[in-house]
Amino acid sequence: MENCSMKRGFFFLRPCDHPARRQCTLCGKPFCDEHLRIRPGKNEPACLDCLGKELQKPSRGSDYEDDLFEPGWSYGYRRSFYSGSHYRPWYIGQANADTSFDGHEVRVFDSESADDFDDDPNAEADGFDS
Amino acid sequence: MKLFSALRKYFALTSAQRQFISKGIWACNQPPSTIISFLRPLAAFDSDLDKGRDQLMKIGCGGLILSFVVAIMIGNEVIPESSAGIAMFLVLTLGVGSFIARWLLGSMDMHNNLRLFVVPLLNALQQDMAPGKNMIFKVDLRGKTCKSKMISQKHDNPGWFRYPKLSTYIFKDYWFSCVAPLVDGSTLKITIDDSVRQRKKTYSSSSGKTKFKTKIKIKSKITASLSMKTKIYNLDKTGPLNNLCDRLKVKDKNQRKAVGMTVCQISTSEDSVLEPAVCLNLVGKILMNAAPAKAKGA
Repeated sequence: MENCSMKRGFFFLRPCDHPARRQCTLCGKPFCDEHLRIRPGKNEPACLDCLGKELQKPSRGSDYEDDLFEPGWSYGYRRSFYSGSHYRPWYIGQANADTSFDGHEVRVFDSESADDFDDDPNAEADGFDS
Repeated sequence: MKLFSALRKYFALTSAQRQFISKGIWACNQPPSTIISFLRPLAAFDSDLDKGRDQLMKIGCGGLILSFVVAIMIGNEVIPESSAGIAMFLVLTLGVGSFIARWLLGSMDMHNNLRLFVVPLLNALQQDMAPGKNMIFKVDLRGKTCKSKMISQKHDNPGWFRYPKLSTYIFKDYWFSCVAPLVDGSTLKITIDDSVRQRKKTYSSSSGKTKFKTKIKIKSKITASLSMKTKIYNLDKTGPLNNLCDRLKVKDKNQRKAVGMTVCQISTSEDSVLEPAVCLNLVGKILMNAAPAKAKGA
């Protein structure tokens, strides 16, 4: 079965490893249940990326404030964040030559670094002031 | 009407959520999804309540205007004397009742930072949290000028009926903090503390009237710190970050390096709202400055 097409994350993008269940009616890609929602006003599934893009449309006007606490908001907002702050997200996972996110350049960890992510985080204090 | 929607949402809240509305303070060590599921209904309720209170204000004003119209109509005998009392009672109840309801609902109104800053920020941070890990979270929305947050006060009183009298109150409001282990093994800490100066002035105007004025100045110190693994990141060059914030703090340990950036924002209203982008930008700048310890390239 095909995997979900969603790239999880905000600062660190990574592929979703859940099996895809249904297709998004807007972009046509397959997604898992976690990344699909029913489009408001229409009885059709749409992925959080597409819903997030709709939430970011300036034509939504006063409704925008209510979108801030919707699950799809951060998926839509990350695009404008990357463009506005010139942030290049880190990519965790199998990367190929054209690994990018919607035209945004990504930075890739090598597999050796990625192995170090899960080291015991309590081995040393976080380094913050108490 | 949004007010009914707000009330419906209020009655759907759990007792812990209602307790948060009345107390205004909450701290926990839970998975981010649990924290967001706790706060999201509160944010939706607060949004509807704000809109509902705006509607009540309009209805109240409309009711008072209508009562003048009804009074004129009674005066001109357009409304028969027998039903004049009932008509006046109804419009006054509508006007005054709306204002009273609006005032009563004010006690359930939470600071807009909850829905416009806290929830969207957690929404974004949740995406990058290490799976199965908890977030240490604290939010305090009791108000920036509540008595328990006052650290000093000074009164300049020249005596009875002598002006100007000036009282200055200083408050410290540590209203937001969260510590989140991220998917790359780093630990993110975000704190916001507000220093509040409130000045109450009583003075005599040129016409001899006694007037009161209250001014408030809030300095919000927003700090984002990332404790990153030196095995994964090369953080030798933190110099450029100095120009991107008001204060940079770098702390070295054997396996980790903590980089903290602070920016300050000044506002003159207790109701001013922070944007989640302020915190996200700080984290983004720290991460943009980090190079991989073993580079492969993009």
